[in-house]
Amino acid sequence: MTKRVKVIFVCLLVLALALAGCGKPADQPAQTPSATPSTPAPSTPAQPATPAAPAVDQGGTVYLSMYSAPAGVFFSPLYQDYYEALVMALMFDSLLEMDESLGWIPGLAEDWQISSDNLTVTFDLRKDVKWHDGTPFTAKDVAWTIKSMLHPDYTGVRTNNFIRLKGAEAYRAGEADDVAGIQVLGDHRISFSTDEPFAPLLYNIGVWRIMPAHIFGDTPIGELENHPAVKRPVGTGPFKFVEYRPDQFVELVRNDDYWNGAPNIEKVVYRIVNQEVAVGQIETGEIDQGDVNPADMDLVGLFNHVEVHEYADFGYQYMGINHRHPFLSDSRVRKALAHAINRQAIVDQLIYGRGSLMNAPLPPVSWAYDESKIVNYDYNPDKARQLLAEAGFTPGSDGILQKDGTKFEITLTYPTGNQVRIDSASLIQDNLRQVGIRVDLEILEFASLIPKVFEEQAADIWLLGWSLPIEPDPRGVWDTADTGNIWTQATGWHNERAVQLLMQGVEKLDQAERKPIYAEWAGIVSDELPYVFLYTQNKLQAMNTRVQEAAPDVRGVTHNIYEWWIPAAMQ
Amino acid sequence: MRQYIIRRVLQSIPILLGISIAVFVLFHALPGDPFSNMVDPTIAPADVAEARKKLGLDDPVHIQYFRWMEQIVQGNLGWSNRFKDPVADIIGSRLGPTVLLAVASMLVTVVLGLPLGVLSATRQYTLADHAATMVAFFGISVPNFFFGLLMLKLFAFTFRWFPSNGMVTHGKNLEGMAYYLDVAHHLALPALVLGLSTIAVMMRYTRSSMLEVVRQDYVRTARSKGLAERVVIYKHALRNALIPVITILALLLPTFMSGSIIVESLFSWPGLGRLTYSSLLERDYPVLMAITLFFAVITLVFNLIADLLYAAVDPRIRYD
Repeated sequence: MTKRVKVIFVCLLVLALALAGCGKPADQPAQTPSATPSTPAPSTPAQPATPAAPAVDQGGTVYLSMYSAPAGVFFSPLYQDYYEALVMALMFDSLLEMDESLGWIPGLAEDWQISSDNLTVTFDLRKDVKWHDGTPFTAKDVAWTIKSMLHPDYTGVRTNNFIRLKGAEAYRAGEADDVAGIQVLGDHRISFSTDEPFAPLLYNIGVWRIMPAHIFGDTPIGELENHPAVKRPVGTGPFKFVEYRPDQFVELVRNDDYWNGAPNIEKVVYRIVNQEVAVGQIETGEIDQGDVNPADMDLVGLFNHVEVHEYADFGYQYMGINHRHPFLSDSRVRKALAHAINRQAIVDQLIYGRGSLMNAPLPPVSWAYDESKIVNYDYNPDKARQLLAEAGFTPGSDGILQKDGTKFEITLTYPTGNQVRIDSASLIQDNLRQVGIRVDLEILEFASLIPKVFEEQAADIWLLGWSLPIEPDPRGVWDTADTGNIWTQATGWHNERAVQLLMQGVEKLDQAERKPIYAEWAGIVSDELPYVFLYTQNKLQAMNTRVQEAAPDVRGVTHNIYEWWIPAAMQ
Repeated sequence: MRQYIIRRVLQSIPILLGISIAVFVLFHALPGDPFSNMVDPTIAPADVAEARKKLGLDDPVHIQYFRWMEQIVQGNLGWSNRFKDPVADIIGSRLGPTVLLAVASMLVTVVLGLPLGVLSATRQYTLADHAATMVAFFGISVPNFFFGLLMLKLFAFTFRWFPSNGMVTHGKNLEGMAYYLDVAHHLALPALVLGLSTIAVMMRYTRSSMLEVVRQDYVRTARSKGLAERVVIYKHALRNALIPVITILALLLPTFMSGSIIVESLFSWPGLGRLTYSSLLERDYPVLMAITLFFAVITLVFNLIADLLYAAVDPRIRYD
């Protein structure tokens, strides 16, 4: 431990020195006491009194990395994987963006208003935005993008984000020619309305990547996937598409006409690399950025040219519990599981403290998170044994608990892929054995596990994670009244009050009004424990310090990429 | 001879048909489908069900098989919903790198395995024999994954003699000779790692074949003529000892062609191995089917080539 502290300290020191060195490029005159406002030089009246922004060098290539290859569909209505979304983020824009504290700031829309009845949001679009081919961006692009996902012939899976728009259901069923809730009010003004107030609407529309209607508009919606621009995108974003060599790299070049100021970096290359090899490639500088495992932090800390940005993530890991199992439907048993599992050990030993415990389905980083009503389950095997005894379990001759002649034997199902999750499975097995529950481990490939857990609902307990959007509306996982939704039916848990709260949560648009609703809801969930919530793991982004202004945070690695620059000597 | 070839080609048609049915049924019997990985709370399962239906994944397996077969007969390998591309294009773009890596690995195997085999045969039970056997068995028993990482650590990260990923240096836009040299530079490490694993096969076959040949009468005759040992071994004995080795080579090539998920992934080599693996994880049935059939065809073709080569180099064998 002391050694790690020392390493971190040295890294910080090195980093501080490196940053101090970078703050003053050699060609920048050093600030001296004589350069005070009291003696203004008459020859430079245009210079501001505050220290001048450091000279920013143009050009260079930044090498980003990803550990799996995108399929190559850079088209927001049809994309399927996370890696495509990463690339799209550089080439396309959304109507709204977020500041550091995740508040809305203008994007393609310079202004937006919500009507007093909370049913309509109107966006005023920027007038100076051009697509990469020079065509002006207008409200038609926005309307076309959203409408394409509501069309009856649409082949993708993103309809749900916009189905609450007025008239969307009718349009999708082919009963209406247009979506009544989408109104183009001029070249640069568009409004979206719903029948009932629906809080996630602003988020769902605000963050969606807008596609060019002048490219796709004439293509029948059912044939969009054949359009070449799905693979060779034309966007409005800071970087333009150059090429994608499958399984090797995606190359982008800067958009000199970018509305938010031309980027300084000439090219961005996303290299597709092996995660085991990435640390070496970060060391040699073959990649400037990489997602680092907590276990590799000591090693990465030794690289003088690398800074690791750590930030909380919106995802979390959990142990799902199937309430259809006769033993597990008893809430005392579920509480016993939570007390029996040493979750702090998972956080401390498996993710090296790079994360935090979870007791409720909202991550601490969310604005909707409120600790006050959440039940905290400490590691307490004695309490677990006591709860199990209250539930009527008695130890058998072999030490395994039993009730009515049936032994407490369950199977823990978990997927391949995430090593921390795999390691935590055996820790959980051991913890539960200590309170008298026998756990068999079953590891399945991801695509085999999903049908077992969600469609057949045949797992006893299982390990999975959710990655959540910033908008906290949890109905996608927790609206247990929606029996057609397999995500919400996996546990078989249902609480009338909890569902009511979720409905209230989306009817209010004001964050301050929504927050207590979600606090009460999280309290119910943490008390009844449909899942044992495990932990949320921080993101660790290693970044070469030659890339100036890089500031990966919860908005992503590249959220401010148009501000990045590389000193000429390091290009 | 021509008749023999025609007969073999005709025989392969029912074989391929059988393979296609078995593989199609097996792939579809796996739990999950192309949408199983889309576990996302913002995606409504009802929308997924709709997309599934539009792709025809709800139909019975035999209907799906006939629909797929209908395309194949028309020379169309199908459409990948994941890549939004024709399957032929997806496989085509990976074929070049795969063939290149396969041939280079073969070269490594031959260049290292053959001399080692000759060496250990001519010096049977000596230190050299044991050393050569050690080297070969090191190659077969060390996992690709470990050896690959070791090579990367040494030659890409510590000495920095070789690049660690991809096929070409990014951003140089090289042409002509410089381009080929650049590709060779990227190819060296993965080919070495992949080739090393089969050196043992090559070496052991060469060794036993050589041992058999050097004991034959004509070799003794050559020796008694007073020919130098080098001439006896390389000119007289090796030529005949190579006959079974050539067969082994022809049978090994399809194995190399099927790509190596691990080596391709470690070195970011854009080959068929990674495509196969990712398509399996994503249940991309059209791509999986096309790749499987492609490997079946390649294997059958190289089996035929092995038999033909055998006849070509060994005049005692005739196909009538």
